[in-house]
Amino acid sequence: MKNYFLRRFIYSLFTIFLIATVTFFMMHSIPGGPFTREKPVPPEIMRALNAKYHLDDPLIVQYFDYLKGLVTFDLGPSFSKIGTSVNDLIKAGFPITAKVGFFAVLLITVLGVSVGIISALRQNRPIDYFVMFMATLGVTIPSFVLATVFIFVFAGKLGWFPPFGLASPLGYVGPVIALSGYSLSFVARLTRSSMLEVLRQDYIRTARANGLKELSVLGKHAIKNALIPVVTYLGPTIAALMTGSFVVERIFAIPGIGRYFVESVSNRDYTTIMGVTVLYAAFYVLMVFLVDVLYAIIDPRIKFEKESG
Amino acid sequence: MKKPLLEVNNIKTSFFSHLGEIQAVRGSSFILNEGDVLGIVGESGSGKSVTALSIMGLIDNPGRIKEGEILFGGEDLVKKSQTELSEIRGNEISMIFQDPMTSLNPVYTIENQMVEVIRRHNKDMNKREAIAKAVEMLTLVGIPEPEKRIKSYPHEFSGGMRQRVMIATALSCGPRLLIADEPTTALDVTIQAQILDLMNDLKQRVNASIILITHDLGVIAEICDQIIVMYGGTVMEKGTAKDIFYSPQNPYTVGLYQSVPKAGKTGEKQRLIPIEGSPPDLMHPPKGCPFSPRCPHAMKVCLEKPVPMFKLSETHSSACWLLHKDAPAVGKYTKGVESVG
Amino acid sequence: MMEALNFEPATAEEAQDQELLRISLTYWQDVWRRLKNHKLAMVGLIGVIFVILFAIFGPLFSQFSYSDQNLDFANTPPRFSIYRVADNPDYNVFLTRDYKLLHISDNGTILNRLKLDDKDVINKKYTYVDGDKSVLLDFSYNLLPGKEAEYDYTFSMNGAPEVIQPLKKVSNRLYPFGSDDLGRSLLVRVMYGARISLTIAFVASLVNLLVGVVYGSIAAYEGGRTDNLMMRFVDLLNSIPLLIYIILIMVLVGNRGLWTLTFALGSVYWVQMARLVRGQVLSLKEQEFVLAARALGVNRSHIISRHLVPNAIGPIIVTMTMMIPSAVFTEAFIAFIGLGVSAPMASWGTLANDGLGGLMSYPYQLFFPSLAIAVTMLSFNFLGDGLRDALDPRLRKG
Repeated sequence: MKNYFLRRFIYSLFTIFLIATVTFFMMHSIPGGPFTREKPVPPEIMRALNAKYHLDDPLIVQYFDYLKGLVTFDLGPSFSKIGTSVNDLIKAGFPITAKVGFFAVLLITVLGVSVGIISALRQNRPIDYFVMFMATLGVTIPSFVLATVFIFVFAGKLGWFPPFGLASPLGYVGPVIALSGYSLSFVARLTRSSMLEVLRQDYIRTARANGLKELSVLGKHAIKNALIPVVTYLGPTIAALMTGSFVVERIFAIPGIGRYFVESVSNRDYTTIMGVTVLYAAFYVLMVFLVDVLYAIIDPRIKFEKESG
Repeated sequence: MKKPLLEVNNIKTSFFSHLGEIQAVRGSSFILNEGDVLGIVGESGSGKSVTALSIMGLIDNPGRIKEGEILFGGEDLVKKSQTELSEIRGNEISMIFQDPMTSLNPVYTIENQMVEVIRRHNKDMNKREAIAKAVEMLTLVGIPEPEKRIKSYPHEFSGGMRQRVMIATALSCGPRLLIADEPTTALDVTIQAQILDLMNDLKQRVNASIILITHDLGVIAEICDQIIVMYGGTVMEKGTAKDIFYSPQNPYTVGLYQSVPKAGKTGEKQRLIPIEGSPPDLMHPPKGCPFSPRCPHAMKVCLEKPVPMFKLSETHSSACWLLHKDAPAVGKYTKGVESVG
Repeated sequence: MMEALNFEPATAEEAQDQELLRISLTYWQDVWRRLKNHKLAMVGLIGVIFVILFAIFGPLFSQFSYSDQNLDFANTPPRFSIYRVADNPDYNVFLTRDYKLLHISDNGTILNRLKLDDKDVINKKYTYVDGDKSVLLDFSYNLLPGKEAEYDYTFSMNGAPEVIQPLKKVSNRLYPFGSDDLGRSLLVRVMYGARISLTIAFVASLVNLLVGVVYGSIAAYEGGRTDNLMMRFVDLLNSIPLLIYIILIMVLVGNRGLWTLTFALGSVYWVQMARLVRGQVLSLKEQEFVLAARALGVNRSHIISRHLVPNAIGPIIVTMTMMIPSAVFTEAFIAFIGLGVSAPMASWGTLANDGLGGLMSYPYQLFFPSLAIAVTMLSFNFLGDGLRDALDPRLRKG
C-alpha cells in the first residue's frame, strides 16, 4: 500500500515536470516575443528588455533557468505588471481563490452527496423530481450565466447581496454558488445514479436477506460503494472549479488568481501565464493524487488492480 | 409423519412496470416438511426465484405479493412488516444466491460482513465471540486457515470460496430454512460438484430444511426429497424425487428430461430433444395451460381453461388436462383425481 | 354441473395464436421503441432538431445579416412601451435608455429615429424633430421634490396636449430579440451564433470521436506493452487540467478563428472516448464471435472495424451525445474569457460575453444567448439520457 502511494507520488511529480516543460516550450514557440506590440518598439529598447529578462539566452539555458526557478519556487517577474513578480501575484491572489474554492468544494461534497442520496432513496417521488429538475438545470447553465443572473436578480433587483467583491461575508454567496453550480448538480446526479446502481447490486440483496437493518443496508453497505464514483469525480471537480474561477472572479471582481490569469492571457504576460498554468496544473495533479489515495482507502480492490496492471 | 415447516398457499407475485403487469408467479402452492430438501426446477422466467424472494419478503418495488399466504412455523410471512421480517431473515430463514462474485460487499472484509450478521441476530454476543463463531462457520464450510482468511476482502477469494463464505454466513445463525437460489450455476463444473457435496454434507450436519432452486435436473436428483417443477409462473408437477424421475406425469417435465443429457448412458445413442418455442410472455399469460402452445399433446381445452392440479398419489400431483378422466389416453399418462384448490 | 371440456387435439394454428402477438424487433427498432417511450428524450430530440434547423435555416428568413448594423437602432429591447403622440395611429414613439427617440408603427415596427434637435439638460427637456414634426420630451418630473409624479416623462407634439401614459407594450417587429449596442439584430446573431457554436461542437466532437475510437480500439486490441504505454499517455493527459491547455493553444495560435477553436477542443477531449472504447473492446474481444473471426483468419483492422466497434456503438453514441453539449459549454467558456471567435463573427459565448457589459440596462442581450446555450445543453442532455437508457436496457431506471 505504501509502495503504491509512493509510486503514485513520484508519478505525480513527473507529471508536473512534463507539464512545466510542455508549457515552457509552448509559450516560447509563440511568434514574436512578449514585448511585441502593435506599436513597434525601438530595437535598442527591445534588446535591453530581452537582456533584462534573459530572453537573449539560448532557449535551452532559459529552460534550465526556468526549471531552477520552479524548484526554488521563483516564477520570475511579471512582464506586464512592471516591478511585480509572478510570486507576488500568486501570493496575493491564491489565498482568495482558495478560500472561495474551499467553500465551493464544501458545498459540492456535502450538499451534492446528501441531496443525491435523498433523491435516490425517494426515487420517482416529488422530491426526487424536484432535485433532478434543479440538477438538470444546473448542468445546462454556464457559470457565467449563473453569476450574471445572480448579480442581476439578487444583488441588483433585490439588493440582498453585494454585487462585487468579498468585503462582507455575504459577498461569498454569489461567487460560491456560481462556481459550484455545475459541479454541485453533477455530483448530485452522479451520487443519485450511483446510489441507485448500488441498490440494485446483489450484495445489497444479500445484506437484506441476512436480515440487516435498513439503516445498516443503506448507511453502511450502500453508501460506501455509491461514493466510489463520486470520489473519482472529485479530481475533475477541482479542475472545473479552478477554471470556473476565471470567469467567476472576473464577473464578481474578485482579485483572485483566476482573474490574473485571464488578464495575463489578454496582456500576453507570458511569465504570469506560465507561472499560473504550472501552479494550477501542479495543484490539480496534487489533488488527483490525494483523490487516488482516498479512493484506495475506500475501495480495497483498487490496489490490486493497479499493482498488477 | 414429518411436520410441515413452510406452507406456501396460492402465492401470486407481480411486477408493475410502465408497460403493464408482469405476473411472475401466478399461484404456486407447496409444502416443505422439517428436515426435507425441496427442489424447485424450471427454466429462467418460470417464477422459481421470485417464489423464493417472495418467501424472503424481498420483492422490491415495483413488485409485490398480490395474494396468497406463506406460513412459516404457523405464522403468515406475507402479513409481516419489513422490520419483523428482518428479524427472521438471516436468522430463521437464510438465502444464498446465484452469483457469489457479486453477492458479497466488495468494500468490507469477510469478518466485518459475517460479524455484522451474527451480532444482528445474537444481540448478547460480543465482537470476539462473534468472530469466533464466524471462524467456526468458515471451518465448517471448508475454508482453509479461516483465522487468517477472515481478514480478507471478497475479491481475494475465488468464486467457489466466496460461495462457501455465503453459505457460512447464511448458516451462522442456525436457520431452520435455507433457500439456495441456483447456488452452483455461476461456478465452474468441478467447483459446482464441491459446493453440492458441501451442501449434501451440511444437510446431514445442520438441522435445517433446504429449498434448492435450479434449472439443472442432475443437481436436484442428488439431494432432493421433494421436487416442484415450475413453468410460466405456475407449478406444473410436484412429487418425490422418485415420482418425478421415474413416472413424470406432465409433458413439460418429460420435455425437460429429453432436453438434458443423461450421465451413464454413453453406450447407447442418446438423443436430445429440445422443447420447441419459447416461454410464455408473463405480461400476457396464456388463458389455459402456460405450456399448451409448446406442448406436443395440446388439446383445445388446454388452450382455453386453466388446469387444476390432478392428484395421482399422496405425494404426487400434476397440472395437466391429459390426466382428466375424459381425456384421450396418451402414452404413459395416467388418470388422476382432480383436487380442488 | 360439469362444463363440457373439449379434448380434441389443438391445431398448430390454435397453438400459435396463444403465442401472442409478440413482435420480434431488431436491435435498432427496439432502441427506437424504447426511445419513443422516453418522454424527456423525445423532448430533447425535438429540441436538438429545432436548434439545428434554427441554425441552418433561421438566417435565411431574416432581412439582416449577422453583421448589418444600424447605430440609430442600437440597444432596442424585444418589447417596449410606446407613446402615441399624434392622432395618426402609426405615429408612436419609444424612448430608449440612452434618450434616443424612435418612431414606431402601431404593430411595433421601428420606422426611424427622430433627430435630437435641442437638449435642455438643466430643465430636462429635449426636443426631437422628424421632418416638420417636433416632439418635446419632458422628464423634469424626476426633479420634483420627493419625485411626486407617478410618471417619469411626458411627450407633446407640435405643442399639442401632453401624452402621459404609454399606449401599450408592443413586441419589437424589426428585432424580435432586440438589438445589440451596434444596432445588429440579436435574433440573427443568435441564429448565426448557433451555426458557429454548433459547428465547433459537432466538428470537435467528431474529431474526438475518431481519435478516441481509433486510439482506444488499437490500445485494447493490441494489448500488452502497447496498451500499457498508450494508456499511460492517456493517464497523463487526464491528470492535466485540459481547459488551461485549450487556453494556451488559443494563445499560442493567436488567430481566433472558427477552426482554431475547433482544433483546440478536438485535440484534448478524446481521452474519455479512448478510455470508453478501450474498455468496451477489451470486454468484447474475449467473446466468442471475435475469437471465431480470429480463428478464421480475418485480419486485424477488419476485426476492429467490423466486429468490435459496431458492438461498442451504443456507449459511443451516448458519449458522443454528451460530448456535443460539453463542447458548446467549453466554447462558451473560452469565448467568455475573451478567446472566442473574433468580431463580427459571433458564437453564443461571445454574444454572452458582449451582453455582460450592459447587463443592468439591457439584460436581454445576455438572456437570449444564454437561453440558446441552456436549451441546447438541456436538449442534448435529455436526448443523451434517453439514448443511454434505450441503448442499454440493463441501465434502465426502476
